[in-house]
Amino acid sequence: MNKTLFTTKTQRAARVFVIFVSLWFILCFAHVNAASALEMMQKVDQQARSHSEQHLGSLEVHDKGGKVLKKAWQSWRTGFGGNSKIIVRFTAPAEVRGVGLLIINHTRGSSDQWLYTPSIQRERRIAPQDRSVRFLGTDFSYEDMEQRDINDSEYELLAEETLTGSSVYKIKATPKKDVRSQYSFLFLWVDKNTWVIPVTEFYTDGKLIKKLFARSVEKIQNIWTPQEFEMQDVRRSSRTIIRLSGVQYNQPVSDDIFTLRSLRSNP
Amino acid sequence: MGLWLISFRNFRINWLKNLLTTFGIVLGVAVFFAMRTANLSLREGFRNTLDRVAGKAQLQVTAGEVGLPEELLEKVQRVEGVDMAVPVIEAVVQTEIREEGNLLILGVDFTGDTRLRGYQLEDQSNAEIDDPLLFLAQPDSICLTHEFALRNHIQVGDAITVETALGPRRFAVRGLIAPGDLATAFGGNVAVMDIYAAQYMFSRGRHFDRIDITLQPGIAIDSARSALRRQLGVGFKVDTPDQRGKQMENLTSGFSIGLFLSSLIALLVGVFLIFNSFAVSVTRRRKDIGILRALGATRRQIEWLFIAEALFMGTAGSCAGVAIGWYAARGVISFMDRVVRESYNVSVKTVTVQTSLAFIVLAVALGISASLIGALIPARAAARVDPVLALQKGKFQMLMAGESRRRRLIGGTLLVAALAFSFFAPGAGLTAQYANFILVFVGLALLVPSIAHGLARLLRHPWQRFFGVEGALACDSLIQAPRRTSSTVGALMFSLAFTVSNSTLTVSIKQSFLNWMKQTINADMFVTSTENLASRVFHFPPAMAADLAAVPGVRQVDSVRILNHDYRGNPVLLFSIEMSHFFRRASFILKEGNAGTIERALTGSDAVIVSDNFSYLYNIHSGDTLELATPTGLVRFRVAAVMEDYGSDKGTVAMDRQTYVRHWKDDLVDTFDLMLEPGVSAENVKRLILSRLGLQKRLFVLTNEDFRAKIIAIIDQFFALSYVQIIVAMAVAILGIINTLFISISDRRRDIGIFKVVGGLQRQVRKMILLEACCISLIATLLGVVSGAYLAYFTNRTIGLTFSGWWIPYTFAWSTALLIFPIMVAVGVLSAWYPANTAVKLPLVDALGYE
Repeated sequence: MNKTLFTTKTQRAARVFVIFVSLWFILCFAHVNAASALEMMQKVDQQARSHSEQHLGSLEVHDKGGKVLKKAWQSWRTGFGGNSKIIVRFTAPAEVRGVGLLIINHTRGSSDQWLYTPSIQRERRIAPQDRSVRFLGTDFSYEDMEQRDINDSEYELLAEETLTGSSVYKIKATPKKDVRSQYSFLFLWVDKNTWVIPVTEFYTDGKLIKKLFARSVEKIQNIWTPQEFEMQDVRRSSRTIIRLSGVQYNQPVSDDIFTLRSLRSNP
Repeated sequence: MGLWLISFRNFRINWLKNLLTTFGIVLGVAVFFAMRTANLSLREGFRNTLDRVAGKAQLQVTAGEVGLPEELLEKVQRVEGVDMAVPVIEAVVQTEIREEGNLLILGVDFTGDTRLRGYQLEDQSNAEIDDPLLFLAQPDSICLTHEFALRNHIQVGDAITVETALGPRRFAVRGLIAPGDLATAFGGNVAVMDIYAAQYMFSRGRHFDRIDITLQPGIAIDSARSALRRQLGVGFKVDTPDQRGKQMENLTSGFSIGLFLSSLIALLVGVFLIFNSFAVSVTRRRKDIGILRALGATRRQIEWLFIAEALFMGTAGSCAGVAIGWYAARGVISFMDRVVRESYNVSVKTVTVQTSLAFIVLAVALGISASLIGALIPARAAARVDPVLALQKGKFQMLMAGESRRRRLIGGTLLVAALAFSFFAPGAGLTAQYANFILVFVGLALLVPSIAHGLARLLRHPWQRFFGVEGALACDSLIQAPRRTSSTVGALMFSLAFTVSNSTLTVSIKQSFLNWMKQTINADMFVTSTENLASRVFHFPPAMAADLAAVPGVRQVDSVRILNHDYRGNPVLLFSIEMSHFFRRASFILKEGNAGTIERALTGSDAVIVSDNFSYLYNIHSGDTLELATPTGLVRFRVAAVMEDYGSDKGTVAMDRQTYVRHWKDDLVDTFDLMLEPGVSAENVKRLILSRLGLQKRLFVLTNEDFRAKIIAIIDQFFALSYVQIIVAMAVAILGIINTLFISISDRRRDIGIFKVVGGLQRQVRKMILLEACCISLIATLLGVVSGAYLAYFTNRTIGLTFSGWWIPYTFAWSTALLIFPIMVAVGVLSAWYPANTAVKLPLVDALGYE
């Protein structure tokens, strides 16, 4: 009887100990994961970092009916991430030539965006409330066009996987509570070798809504640069392919071109 | 049960007469139902469009017609509790497809609007829109509703010509709005375009018409509205879409009430007709009633017999009236649609006739009530039939003895009381005015038999002199039985009274307008942005004044801005012009204030001049301070004077253009008033303006004569519908003449028989009946003209003042009054032709059977 009692007490104590130790390990592991996930994202950020960038771009929007719309543009960026400014000027087709988009990103919070239409010589501000709207009929939203600071999200390393022959980390990025975003969270697959993100999945209210693929990764001026992006809208069954060419980093770009006055000037 | 069979027999034998009587109720109810239904449909159509266009918007920010400066948008978006705030521009314009009527173009910001308004854009491949970037890049991009496109065989990629501030422009259809809420607004005639392109195409400068707002979940509308009002200031209105609807209804309230009053006329005339018909029926069926009474039927049973017949005819007539009114409402809607657009600058495209079961029941109940009221006195008279007298051949009982001193006294007293009320309390409240209106009606109705009797006596001598014995006999018929004809005379009198009154009101308004325009709107030429003078869809930039001044022959150019501005919940007219220019060529007709100092007082300062009706409606006088909410805040204006003005039935406030621009931050122009060099041909200048500027801008050049003609056309159009109603009322009254003559012949069968026996010729019988009809028409016309003159005085003095604050000088419509006499005599003769032939063919044996 006493033995039984003793055995029971010991077993209870052992169980409590095991639970306590397990919990401690879980917490420690999570902390390490969080820390390493952020570090990984910092590496991604670091790898892509440049003072400026410019490129020629083209896009194709494929709707579910098979119709394809094509556009071309030229883009300039100064700064990086949350401190960057971007100007995009459409060059083709002729009917949209001169349409411009100015994005001024901020370290915290949404960016300021203006769209300029030369035919009526008017710029319009894209209000923060409208960031979830599709960007000019593509599968990107205005929010997707922003460059967010990596500190706007919290990261969690979920797993190490193999993706199309490459070793990748699977990371979950959740926008911080004070950051306005249409997305609940994102799954990012980070390439261990290049620190490029080949695949991103976008979730809203727990549902997958979009997938972004980065392809044709080449090292340009020591920066691994994907030269083709494909955004797939799962709900609309449409996709947008963006191809970059003539990518140049760290070229001198005047700050004057990232102003409303410059946007209004019709090159 | 047996009594019902008697009624059935009566319906079977006298089906034509009963049908004519019922037709009176049918017309009365149809007109009433059509008018009210059209009014209701117009209101519902307007609300429906507002609701559907508003989408999920819980609040809307406006600043009247002046619009909202663009920078206000970000301010609104930052207000706590606001989820989405999207700008809108609305323009109702014509397209090349004239048969479709107007198109409501919504200028929206596509980056957020679809979420708020919940519409889906589609193209042929079911994508959202053909090419959103192209859509925004090209200002000629437009999306039509799927239904509109289908109806007009338009496909994505086609073009449609739309009127813009730059003149007619081809728009490329780059998407379709899928069926849904927005697509059903404005009868489906909705198009969507980019808001900034709309600013450009419809000359809105850097302004929006409205900002639509949705709130964050859990935010109460009232608290958000308070927060917005605090942030934006008094110059901007923050309302729910429903409140905005009410404000627009308020703008057209005068027109709606006018229609309601005139729609009652037809119903009132219907009462007279029923009265007449039942009086006829009682007389005709005197013998049957006598038999029934002799067989034991009680007075009450006889009374109920006639009331039941009235109930049956009233029900049948009302139901038929509702059905006809339903169809007629479509035409009325289209007319009213045009009037409110051209007179009030309110566009409503009402496609469906809107009514409710409650209103159908009300219309039927009114029709039945009219029948019962009309039948009540004859039914009582029937109950009083003496069976002995009724069954004795050759005996005649006057059932509704004509003369009554008491009735005359009451009628006279009521009329004098109404007149005194009109004179001493012209601006009393609406209920008092309605009550007074009823007094006038009842007073006149009570006096009709006595007056008709007196006039018939007066006519007898001249009638005998001109038309011989037939003339005398015709008058005798009226003198002997004044109550037989009084209802017909009454019905005709009221119809004609309204014709004369309406005509007098129109002539008075026209005369006042012309006098006012002669002194105040005396420019040689007007350059407007729209054909419709009330519409302010398009505007001119201020710089255009210089272009016009450069046209050879132009001496002076004045920039006029006219818009509705909310004052104490009413849309008053705000008028601005360069006062220093204005006083060089014109002056105001001052009711208060100093004419010598008015120019100096108004020019460039925070002073205004208000219209006499504004002064009356809001009790604001010269020397007072008027507080107006402007986009720059609440501004206190000194009232320098009160002027005679007919710009708006809600009142007008005029100020110097410089003052307006300073406070409203709006330099757009609606009309340029031009003065020409002496001796210059207006037509030449018009041609020059059109050739120089007409290709760049949408503009209309009107000479002073053109402008006046347009104003007169608007006034005529405003009153046109009431004329239609009066024609219907007259048609009902004519039915009354036919009925009256039938009963007259029936009553006088013996007289006619004797007349024939003693050698009276058929043509003499015919002449006698025709003269009787002429006599009825003449008496009714005379009474109609006199009472019409009084009604017009009443309308001018009381109704006009109550609804609009206007004290319109009285100008009697002599031409209408004089024209009515020959027309009504001709109508009387035509109406009497068939009854006269019936009298001619009356078998002598039947006629003399009594002997």
